[in-house]
Amino acid sequence: MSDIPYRDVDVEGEKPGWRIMEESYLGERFSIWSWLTTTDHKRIGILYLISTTLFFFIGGAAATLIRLELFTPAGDLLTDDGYNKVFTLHGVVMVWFFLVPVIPSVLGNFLVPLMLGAKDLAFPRLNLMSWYLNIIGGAFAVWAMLAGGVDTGWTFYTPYSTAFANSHVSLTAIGVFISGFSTIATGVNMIVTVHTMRPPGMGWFRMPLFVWSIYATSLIMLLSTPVLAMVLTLLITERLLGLGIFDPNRGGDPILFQHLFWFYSHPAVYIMILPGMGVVTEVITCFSRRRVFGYAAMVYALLAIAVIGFFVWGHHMFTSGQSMYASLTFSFLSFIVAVPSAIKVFNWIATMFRGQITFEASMLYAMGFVGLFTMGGLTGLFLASVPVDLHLHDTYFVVAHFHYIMVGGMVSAFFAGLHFWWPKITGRLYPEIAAQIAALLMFFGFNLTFFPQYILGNIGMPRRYHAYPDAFQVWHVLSSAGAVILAAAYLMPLFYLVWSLIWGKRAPSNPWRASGLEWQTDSPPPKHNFLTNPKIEGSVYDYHPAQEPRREVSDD
Amino acid sequence: MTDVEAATIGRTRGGTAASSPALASHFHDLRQQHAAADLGLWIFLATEILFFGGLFAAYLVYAVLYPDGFLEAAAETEVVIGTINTALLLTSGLSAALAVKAAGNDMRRSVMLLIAVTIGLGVVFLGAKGYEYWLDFGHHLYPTSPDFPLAAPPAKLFWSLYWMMTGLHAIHILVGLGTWGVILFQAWRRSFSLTDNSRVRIAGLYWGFVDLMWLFIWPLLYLMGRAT
Amino acid sequence: MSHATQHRNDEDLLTADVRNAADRKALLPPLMPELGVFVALFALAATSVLVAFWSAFGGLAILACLAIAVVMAALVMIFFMHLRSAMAVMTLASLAGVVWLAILFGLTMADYLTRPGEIGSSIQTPRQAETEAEAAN
Ligand SMILES: [Cu+2]
Repeated sequence: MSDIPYRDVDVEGEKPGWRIMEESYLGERFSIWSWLTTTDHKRIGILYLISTTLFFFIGGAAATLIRLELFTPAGDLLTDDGYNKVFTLHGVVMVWFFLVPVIPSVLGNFLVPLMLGAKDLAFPRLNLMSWYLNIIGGAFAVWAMLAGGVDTGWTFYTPYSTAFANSHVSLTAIGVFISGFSTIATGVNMIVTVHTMRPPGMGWFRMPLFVWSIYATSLIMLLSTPVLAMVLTLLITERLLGLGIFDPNRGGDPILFQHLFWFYSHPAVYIMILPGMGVVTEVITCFSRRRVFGYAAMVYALLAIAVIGFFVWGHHMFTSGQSMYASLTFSFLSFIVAVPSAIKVFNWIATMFRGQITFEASMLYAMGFVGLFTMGGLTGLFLASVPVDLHLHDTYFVVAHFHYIMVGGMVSAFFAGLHFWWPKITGRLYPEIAAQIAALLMFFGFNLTFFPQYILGNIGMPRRYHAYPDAFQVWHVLSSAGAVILAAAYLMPLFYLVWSLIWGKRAPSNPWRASGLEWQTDSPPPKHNFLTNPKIEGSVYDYHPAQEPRREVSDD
Repeated sequence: MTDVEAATIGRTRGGTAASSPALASHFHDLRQQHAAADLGLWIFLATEILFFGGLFAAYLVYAVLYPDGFLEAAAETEVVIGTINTALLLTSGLSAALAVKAAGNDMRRSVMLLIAVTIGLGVVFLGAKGYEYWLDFGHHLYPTSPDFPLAAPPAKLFWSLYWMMTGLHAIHILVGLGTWGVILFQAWRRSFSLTDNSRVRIAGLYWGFVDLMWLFIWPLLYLMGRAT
Repeated sequence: MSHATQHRNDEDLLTADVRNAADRKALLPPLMPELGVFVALFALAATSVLVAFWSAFGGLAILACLAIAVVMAALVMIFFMHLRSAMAVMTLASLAGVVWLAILFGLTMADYLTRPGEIGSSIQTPRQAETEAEAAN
């Protein structure tokens, strides 16, 4: 057990805070132009943080409208058409402009080079381009909304989307297509960085698991996104040029669209969850003061999920007319992919076992992630079994299931990571108690919003309807009430994190006494990340119970 | 003194290539930088394979579902032009590969000549393609045409795929030509070091991929349905 | 670590340096093996055309043509795209593209080939479906 070099909190040390700030990536130049043309991975991470936050609140506004509409059985707030457009907007914006980029491009961008002791990602200009592509794509989606909206749902199923929909399908599809290039650019950057820029002494199995998770995510991004790009191209050309690949009048098969679409979109679920797993691993090991249980198993589980995730897409198509034999095969394979996920859950719990757990906000979020992800994953098994899926397909059960994974899982993980690395990113400590309250609120608000939806689905409420029989109302009211709490829990961090930028205490370089190279540099890091070469010693997660978790400092 | 000369002198005087102006500040040395650039492009090409792969999957499904309709529809493509274009692309693949080799040996004149040849062959390819499109239009071989000559419904699927495949491939050729054009101009201006910079190698890899895709498009669209 | 590479190792760099100026002004680099591969590619393309027009194969000629295309593609990748001298991870990257394509093809076809009835019979144009329904009435 070697000592992890950390700077003691109380002895703020050799360098005064303002010096660190001035030499940091934040202090160098502050003009808007210098930010918009930056190739510094840390600044690009911040740009992504701003844009994804913006998209999160656009998607959130749509969600609010949905929950308001569903408060009463009658379709009174929105027309049926308007409701279709609102949930499509919610899905498109949340999936492609928030969930997919949020952890890889915000935290991944900021942290991967730091964790590898590198000065930047391999292709800094490509990195900046990826941000611009993302916001241009987002702008198309928002433009389509302002021009009148899209009503196909985020899945763009044919033949509705090609032959019947009269809304701005092409415009939205173009936006998603462009954002796909942004995803690919990020993926290329991450993989090449991990392959070619690891420092001497950091072998593959000494990389932090967050880097591994970004690596596995990037693999999925690169191998799945091109197929989405192609299927959207086919959709657009069918609408605009009449090159009908999916047109039944020509013998085309609309189900083929679903095959190609889910070849991307099922793995995309893992694009949206693997980075969260990486974050949660880092957080749990730190606040349990225990090294990660089964490091190698964690790595293999990540890679197994990434690979097997490509073999299961047909579980979205059990009711589509797909062959029964294919359905059974896909069902079996979907059960297989649950195994590595279960290994991860087991290892997180084993990591916490007999640890010296402290309940900082990021730890609360991370523990919430483990519970909610487990629940979302287990209900996924219900949906993966053909007979049960025939009952539950296209009901609120499905909605609840993927929100447990995406929102309960990924958004919790993002907040865990944001709080964990906030001192490193900004050089400020956030107010701990406020953050703990927000974390707990989010957990309870989330469950109140989405647990009733499992029941709704099971008793027969289909998704994508703006009016429903009175019998369902009580569950919808519970769900909408939960959404209010959830909204408050999402707004709180916005306020106290911004507050901490100005009034927060200065963060030492390693407030959590965490291991990992990113904690060996100043908070916030200097422009080129490290003033002296970081030391790589001991194993990756060198936590020791004797190292007290942290300070009694920032609790005001 | 140009970059090329500076880099060369730097190396021959016993200094390492680390002092090359082509080296970006976040890399340790040129070897790392070259490895990153090459790997990045290979990964990009893997994504390109899957991008075209979506189209090939559609082709596979429909060719299996409607073998007769596809054989009949494929017999209508311009096989002579398609085959000439195959020859043109293979030749340009040779000149591009040699250009990469020449760049590795710092042979500027040779690089410029070979790139020019590659561009020339690519332009002829596009010209032939344009002529072919013109003929196709004349024969009403586009799916929205009211006078589409083939009766079987799947024929329109084939011709949709034809336009998509050749069109996307032509766009890739255009991008490749643009890249070669920029590099040719820069080589002429001596604005980058041929050996220290990955530019020519990267463009060569991309061009090789464009070649590669055509090698599959050609049998699927042109050689299909000829044995009658 | 994976620095062991690559297109030009140090000795190559040195030879490039001592190569005299006249040599660097030559019009063409050494032509082999690229020229040989080029000839082979042309031969394969010609074979492909012959196979395609040879009536004995019928509709299956396309399979032979595609097999030839695979060989040609391998030649292009190994020699024209210099995979021969590239790092192993680059071969791996290109292979990943091909393997994932196989997953896409394989599992998609697993659906189409196992649908009930004759291949293709599960898909009807709306008009066919209508006529069938009328006949049934
Ligand atoms: Cu799925």
